[in-house]
Amino acid sequence: MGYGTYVAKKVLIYFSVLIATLTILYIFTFPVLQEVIAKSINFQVSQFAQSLLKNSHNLNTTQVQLSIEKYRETLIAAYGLNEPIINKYFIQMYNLLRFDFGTAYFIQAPSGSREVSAIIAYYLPNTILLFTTATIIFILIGTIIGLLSAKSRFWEKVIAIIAVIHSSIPTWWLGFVLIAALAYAVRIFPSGGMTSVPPPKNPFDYGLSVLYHMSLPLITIFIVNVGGFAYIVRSLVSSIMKEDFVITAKARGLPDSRILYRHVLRTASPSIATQAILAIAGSLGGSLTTEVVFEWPGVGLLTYIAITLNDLPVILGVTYVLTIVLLIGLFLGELIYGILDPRIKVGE
Amino acid sequence: MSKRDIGFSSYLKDFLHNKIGLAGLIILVVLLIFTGIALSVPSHVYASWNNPAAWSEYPEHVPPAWLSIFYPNKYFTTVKLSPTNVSLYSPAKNLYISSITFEFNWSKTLPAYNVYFIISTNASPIEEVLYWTKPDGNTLQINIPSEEFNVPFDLTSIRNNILSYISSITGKTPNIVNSTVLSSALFNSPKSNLTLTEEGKYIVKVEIVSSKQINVSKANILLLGNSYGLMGTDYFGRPLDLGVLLGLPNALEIGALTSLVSVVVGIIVGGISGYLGGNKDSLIQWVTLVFLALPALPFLVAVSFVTQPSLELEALLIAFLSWPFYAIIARSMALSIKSNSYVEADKLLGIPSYRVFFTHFMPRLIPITVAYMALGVPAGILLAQTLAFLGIAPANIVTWGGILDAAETYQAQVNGWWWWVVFPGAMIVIVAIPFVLIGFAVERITLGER
Repeated sequence: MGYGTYVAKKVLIYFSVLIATLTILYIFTFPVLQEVIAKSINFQVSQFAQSLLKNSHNLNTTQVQLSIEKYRETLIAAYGLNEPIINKYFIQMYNLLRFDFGTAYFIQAPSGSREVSAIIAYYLPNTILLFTTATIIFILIGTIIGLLSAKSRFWEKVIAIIAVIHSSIPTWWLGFVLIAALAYAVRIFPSGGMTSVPPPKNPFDYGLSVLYHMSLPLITIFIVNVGGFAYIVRSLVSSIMKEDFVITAKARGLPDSRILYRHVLRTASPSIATQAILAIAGSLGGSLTTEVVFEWPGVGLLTYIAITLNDLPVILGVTYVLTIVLLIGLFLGELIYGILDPRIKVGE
Repeated sequence: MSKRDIGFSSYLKDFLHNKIGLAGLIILVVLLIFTGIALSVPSHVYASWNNPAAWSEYPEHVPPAWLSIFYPNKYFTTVKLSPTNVSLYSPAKNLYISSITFEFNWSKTLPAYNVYFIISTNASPIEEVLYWTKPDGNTLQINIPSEEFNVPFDLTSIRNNILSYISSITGKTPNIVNSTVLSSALFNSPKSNLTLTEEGKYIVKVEIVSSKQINVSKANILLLGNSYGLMGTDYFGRPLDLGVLLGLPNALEIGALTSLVSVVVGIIVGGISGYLGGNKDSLIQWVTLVFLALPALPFLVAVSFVTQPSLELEALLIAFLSWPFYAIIARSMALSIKSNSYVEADKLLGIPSYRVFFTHFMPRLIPITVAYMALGVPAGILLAQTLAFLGIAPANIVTWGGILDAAETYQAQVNGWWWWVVFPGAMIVIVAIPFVLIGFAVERITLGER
């Protein structure tokens, strides 16, 4: 099995997983989904009625009523509201795969569109910017600390402490405390948002402003996550240290650091990659509330606003999109795993 | 795997010799004692948590009382005054006057945070007048509005008289009228334009005029302090130490329930998957992946719009989403057990596979199950508190996440009300830590030191 076949197989598996996951979501949210679709139809009908009344003065009331009713019926047919549940399911799956999540009740994208996909498309890049940067930083530094701790007792103790912190501190709470301390008590960092108000015009200043606003959330996510990741790396490395080839290398008299970085790290890298992907998946889902605290205009803040406004279509849309993003992440992880694991390249 | 014996008593012995594990156990026992105390709190206290009127006699958003140890001049607690003299006389027929006198010494450099009057009588008064005499003899007369008779009231209810007094002395009406401004009129010296507090003996007299014989059933004055209890109070005056205590049982319950269900399911699914191998393994892995791909937080938010989850249902939903993590770990454990020579030997001897599973796999998976069960509790607690922070929590329970949500809504961080943010959040950490310690200890004992 070469790398191509491996990728093709994975694509098939992940597509089937996507369908299955969306089905589970559909089953769990079926009642609210019906409500959402009914409201969406009402909204579209009222818009249609308005435009009809505005543009066609030669129609009488019965004709207007008739065409509005006709329009409503075509919409009901299009959304499959009066069809058997299995048809509803297929229509919904088709819509989801086309990123058609319906119309939001209240929230608008800055472009003025009420399409849920347009709203999410505006906020998602901000989330990805913050969390990928944060994850890359804590994975790099976590790996380094994990490797160091495999060598020294001191780092091992440090790791144990920060791993406890990792498993017990909610990121959003730490963010809350840091904002109170570093943004209001001592004014070093901005208290929230993505850029200063008003946003700078010059692209360089704009980037600088984003970086400045990103630093406190980055620090928060880093503190909470680095220990847990270093702990995982440490246990992976220490289990490999017991393997025969490491003992052989030691017997050959190779220096410790060479063994650690050449032999052990190379063997551990596929597992570290998998763990890194799992960490990204976990941090994205769980840290959405961090955005609420830092007023970072991403999907998390959007979800919070949607919750306070009871804007169901947006919440459902966010859930679908994050499922897809998570699956893409896991899929990329498998691809990286395939590249790093020599057995797959050789075709074992 | 380590070479030590497999057996419950040997694990227990190792565990009790482990300092980390023992520390975790001790903290856990302390927490369980507090849970017992919290469960003995009457249920109407839980019910009144979200009712702001129930907390009106508490000072609002004040820091913890122990700050007065460090800043004796700045922080003080609530003083409850009982009348020094109650006299009743009748100057004319069908006219009764009751005069209730309170006396106290004030030696702080700050006025009381607010003043609360609790006076109830059997009769409905015609008139109620308050005479507030300051140490220098100045007397402030306040007519109490008729709707405040027989109901506990504070300074904001009688603000009109106080405001006219303030404007008569300073020559202008204050822009912001809150209890602190009103209280400063009662405690500050008119000579200093109401900026400096007068120290000394204050005399407060309440005169009640009624057409019937007056029987005073309750008479107290609360001089609200600017600090309260162990953890201060929030925007509504709710004492945070009580909130933190009330949040403890449900946090532990949701953590324990989530972890129990998700770890047991995860370890069984993962263990079987790794043990069976082949196509069955691939199928189980596929199912695991399906559940792993569900984003926990948005999923729970979406589902909570379908059903208003109870505590148990919420725990089960969290467990439903978190078992795949344990399945992945258990599968890799099972794979490594499988490669051991004694498993191969048993297979060659023709021992049925279910027996191999029970004799070799389960005993080696159980300790790690215990470790992950302990480690899973904080994860469940964190997710449940995060949901509560987003405003999605089972109704009628007090959660730390909910308290922090209120802190966020009322901008505690901007106003410097640090106690409102720090204590409930710290409790999440404090509850999580013993489980993490126990989990690490068990993990270390089963996997062996390196």
